[in-house]
Amino acid sequence: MKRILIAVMMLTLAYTPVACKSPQLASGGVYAPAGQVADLQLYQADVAYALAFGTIDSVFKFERDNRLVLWKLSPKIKRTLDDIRPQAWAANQRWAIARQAYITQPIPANMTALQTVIAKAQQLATTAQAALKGN
Amino acid sequence: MDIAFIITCIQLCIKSAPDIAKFVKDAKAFVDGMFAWGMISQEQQEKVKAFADACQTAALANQPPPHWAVEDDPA
Repeated sequence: MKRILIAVMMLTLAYTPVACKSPQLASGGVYAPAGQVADLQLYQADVAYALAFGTIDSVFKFERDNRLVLWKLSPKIKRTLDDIRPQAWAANQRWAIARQAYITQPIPANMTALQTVIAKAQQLATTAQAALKGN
Repeated sequence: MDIAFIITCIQLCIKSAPDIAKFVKDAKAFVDGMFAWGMISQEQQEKVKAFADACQTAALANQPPPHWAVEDDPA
């Protein structure tokens, strides 16, 4: 379990926003087409989502791949994650709809909606990590 | 706690280590991309967008990964 705890701690550290100088998008990239205004907010939203989704996905996969052993350790792990699974997928679908809406119409209100859904996904990622750590 | 159980736990940790290491490496790459000093390359942008687009397509098609499904408890 120590390695699992170390990995979870490393993920938590990686997940902690660090206030660094704002990055810039290289012109000609998919978020900064040549001759158009770069969309750093969408890039950052996509990165934040990828981290949250990746964390949730890894926890679910880890539990599924090692279910019998983890079940012997504590049935609460699977049960807690089973509570999160449908919520996580629902949040994922809301994210997809919100992202599609922003791409179709890149206005601040749609970005706010996208960021709200990502915040929910980040919350679920934290809960999923805690299920492994705390049980 | 018997010795067999402890050995099983150790085996589990060893077995899962490469997966965890890979994910931590990928996560770090994303964080590096997000908080990078200076320019975010075209390649990094494409990588992030490809991942987000693929996730968006799967979500809109309602195709969750198999390990996201709620299954029966082990016997």
